[in-house]
Amino acid sequence: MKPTQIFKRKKQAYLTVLAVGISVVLLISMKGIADGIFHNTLDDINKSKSDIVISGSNHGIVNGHSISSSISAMPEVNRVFASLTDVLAVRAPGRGVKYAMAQGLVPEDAQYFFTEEDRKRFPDEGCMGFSVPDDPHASGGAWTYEVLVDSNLARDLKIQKGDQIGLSRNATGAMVTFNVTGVFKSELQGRGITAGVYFVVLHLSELQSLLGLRDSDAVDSLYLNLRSDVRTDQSQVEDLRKTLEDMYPFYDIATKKDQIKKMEERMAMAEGFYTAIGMVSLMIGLLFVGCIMVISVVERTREIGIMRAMGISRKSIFIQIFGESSVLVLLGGLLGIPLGMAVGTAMSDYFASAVGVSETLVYFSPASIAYIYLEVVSVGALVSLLPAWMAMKMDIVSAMKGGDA
Amino acid sequence: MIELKNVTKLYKMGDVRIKALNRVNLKVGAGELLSIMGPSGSGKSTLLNIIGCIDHPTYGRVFLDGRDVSKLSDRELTRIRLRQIGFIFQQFYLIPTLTARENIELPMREARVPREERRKRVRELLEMVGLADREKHYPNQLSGGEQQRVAIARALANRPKLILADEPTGELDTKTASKIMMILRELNTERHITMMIVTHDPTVAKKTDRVIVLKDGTIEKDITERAEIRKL
Repeated sequence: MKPTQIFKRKKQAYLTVLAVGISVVLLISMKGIADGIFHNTLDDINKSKSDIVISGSNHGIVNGHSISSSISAMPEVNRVFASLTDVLAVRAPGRGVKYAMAQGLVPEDAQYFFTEEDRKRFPDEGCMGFSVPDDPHASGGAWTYEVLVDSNLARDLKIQKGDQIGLSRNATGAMVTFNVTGVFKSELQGRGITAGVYFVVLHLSELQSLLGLRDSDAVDSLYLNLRSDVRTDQSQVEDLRKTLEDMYPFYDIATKKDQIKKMEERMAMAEGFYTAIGMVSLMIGLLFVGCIMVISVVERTREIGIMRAMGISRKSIFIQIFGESSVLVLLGGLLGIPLGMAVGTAMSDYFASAVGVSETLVYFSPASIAYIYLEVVSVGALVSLLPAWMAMKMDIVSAMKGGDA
Repeated sequence: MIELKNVTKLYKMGDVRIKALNRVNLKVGAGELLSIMGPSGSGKSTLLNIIGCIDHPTYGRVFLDGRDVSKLSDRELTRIRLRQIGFIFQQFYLIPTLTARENIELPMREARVPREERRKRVRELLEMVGLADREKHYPNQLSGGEQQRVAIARALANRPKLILADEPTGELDTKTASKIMMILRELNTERHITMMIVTHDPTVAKKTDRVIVLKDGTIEKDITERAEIRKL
């Protein structure tokens, strides 16, 4: 029989195509988003000017400024920049208190700390909004009392450049008055829960003082930007890492390669989870296909009996039923590919706009799509074996009476 | 052409064994047109199924053209059914998703008849049964009589030597039934196809040359005299 005959059994054909299509849509959209997040993070790591990260948990690196100076003196190192992050209470007089994620850094390090794309969100004047590029308070100099606030916080506390705000470890603590020297565009532009996530950026040593970490000179991480000839030579990077490990055995030291490896390990775990969910959805979808095909064979019992009586061989019956369901699985899979890509893209756009980021969180690799398609088609073919076998094994006499399949 | 020797068929229904055919002996010559009559449960359809290589006898032997088919494998029986036997059923049993032409082509496709030859035979057969203009119609677009004529054309597709018809006029009105019988009669006369027709209807049996009457799985009467057949 011609393959077009399949579509004359409309309900069976459409339900089968739909079930396979939904499975493929689920698998492709989930895989696309998982790959998209992976690629995005990988892209961030690759674009980052930090070639080695030294980190300690919970402000765990003490003497941050002095370690930074020592490492800066190493011949392989172009620059070292430190980062400290914590939550601060922000009070705008008469307009309430909000909690914001505070980022402490030395302004002149910002060009290394932020990507070029990120820096476009900050003011042009001075050093990204700060009047001085260095961190004067760190060397016993005066406080600058300079703070940059993000656009979400500026909007909600009605703050603008030139205003004064209070910063403290908590809302009940004594506030230190800072001058808002600039407003930068928040990375999170969404209207969902992320609209209430605020950021402030201030001099590293002043954040240390606010958090009571000035004496220990504690920071979270130190980022090493290596000389251009070193950063491209993986063996030199590895040697430097070993040297740093010997110098600072209590800190976690990771090269870009290590970061990517760690991320790949996490992705592998996520991939396992995703694969399990995907396989369950695939199995449910294809069992559904199997059920539809079995019902179809049962409904066609008499027809199959008549065909057998006419001299149609068991092999031909098997090929016909198996061929029919395989064609439907193939078509459902093909239909599911563009739909899965569309659904994945739509979901990614929705999440990105909810979070307020402009990145594309979806990536469809032709190899992944081909793998998913082959997986679905193979499992679909396996599932189709049962109805085909049932049809082939029918007893002619009882089948002609419309009896048991 | 056909010879049955002591053919017995037993069916198991739960713990009960039913004797559908009991030591049936029968010889049918090539080109005969005969009918099988008998009350329900007398074994008519079982006899037809065994002769048609659809079912195996429990005991006894069946010969088709001198060849013992009672012990042949499923594959060999399928081949015999495809190439030597044509079936016509009471309820026509056309494949609903295929057109008249495709239904007729189906056994020819299985027999790997070349495309051009298939088309030629389909045209001839549809013309023979008077349905040349219904080639592209689906079964549900045809009347009962037309469907049965397509079924006859399908049964003739691979040019069988034997046609087995199980109540071929059972679902048709008298006029249409008469036309169908005329076609079967012509096929028998002009193409010398051996024809066995199971029927309840004496008017159908009267149009055949020999009537076998079955009762409780045995041949009660084997009528060959025209005068006796007329009395049915």
